[in-house]
Amino acid sequence: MPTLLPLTPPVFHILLSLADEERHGYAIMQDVAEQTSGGLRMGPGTLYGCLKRMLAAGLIAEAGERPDPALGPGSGEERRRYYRISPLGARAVRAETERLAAALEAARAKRIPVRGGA
Amino acid sequence: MKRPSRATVVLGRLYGALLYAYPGEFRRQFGAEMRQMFRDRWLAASADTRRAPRLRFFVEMARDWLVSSHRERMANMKTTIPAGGWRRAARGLGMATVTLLVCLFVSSAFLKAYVIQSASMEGSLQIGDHILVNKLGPSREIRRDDLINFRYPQDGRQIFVKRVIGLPGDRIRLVDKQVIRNGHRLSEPYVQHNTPTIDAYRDNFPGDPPSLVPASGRDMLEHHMANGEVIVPAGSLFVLGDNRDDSLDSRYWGFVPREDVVGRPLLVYWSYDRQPDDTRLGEMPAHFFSRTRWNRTLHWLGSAHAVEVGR
Repeated sequence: MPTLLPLTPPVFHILLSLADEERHGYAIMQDVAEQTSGGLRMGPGTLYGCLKRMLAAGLIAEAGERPDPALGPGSGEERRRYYRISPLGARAVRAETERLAAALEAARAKRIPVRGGA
Repeated sequence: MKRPSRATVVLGRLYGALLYAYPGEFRRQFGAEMRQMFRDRWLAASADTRRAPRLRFFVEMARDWLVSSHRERMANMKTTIPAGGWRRAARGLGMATVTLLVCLFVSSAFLKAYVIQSASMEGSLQIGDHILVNKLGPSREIRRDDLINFRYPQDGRQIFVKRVIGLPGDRIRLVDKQVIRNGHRLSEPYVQHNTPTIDAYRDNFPGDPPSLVPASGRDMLEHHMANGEVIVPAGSLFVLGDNRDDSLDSRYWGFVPREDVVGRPLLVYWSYDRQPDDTRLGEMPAHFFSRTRWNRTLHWLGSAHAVEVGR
């Protein structure tokens, strides 16, 4: 685990998006874009390159194929491969969040303005 | 299920072909999903009727493909071939070649190469200059003094290079070779004159057209003149050659429609002084070093400007 930390921003945000539910690639990309207010919009190559390495590291696992009823017309009935977070991934995202929280505290202690209040 | 549009199908196929830039193993594992995601993002971008989201989609996808396919090729090489040895070197060379081809493909979407074949821009461009043209026409507005490539109004198959002298609304005339724009005399550092002789039409423009002026030029003189000046209409440009005494330009065949502009010349990447004896392609390598104009090779264009010097 120590070698995994700190997580790179794409890995961290992908783990966050999978923390509450299983998602397919496009849903992960949309969720990450939402988390970062559009700051991190991953293309297919970047996203799947990341997923490949996260699968190899055991942070995530495949969760089977099924259609996504939420997708609009034209692609709603197509089967998609879903991904879920692994126990190791869950521990990694928790550890990274704690690290970021500590960094936030340190920034507050130095009176660096932080949005969202105390 | 709604049938996908033609554009969606064509783009999907294109992206499928581009996936061959990724290592085979990666493509087999994720290719289908990547195509799905590409299509999802395209549908989201094209649902918007404005142009900006689509443009952004293409830029993002091109960048993603360029960067990630290179990254995956490199990662693939590190894991499948042990360090050192000629196999790895050969594989590295192969991978670098793929990256180079990818770069060439992307750049061909934005750049186009032309060879200068007339002396009408001499002073700025010589016969035998090989130039790269920025095809992204609408990336910025066309300004005065810009060099532009455009389809020749008399024959759309030919691409010409001239300099923009008048934008829509500008009043243009020439008095004894001197350009007067909106009442101001221009000092044009890029202009070359070959003869002191004053030609009644060419150098004191506009005037009574000689017989070589075609219908489009006569139309300009008839419908876009006031007080001895040509007035550039909306959506058009007035262009002149830098080799001012030896250039067929807007003085003769009239305005260039804005939509016929295909780009702006960026750079001379090679300049070759072709001689009568090397008409056959086979002759060129023999003279490559002696006839390349080295001082013109890799020469950036487009920094020359006219100055208004007074009334």
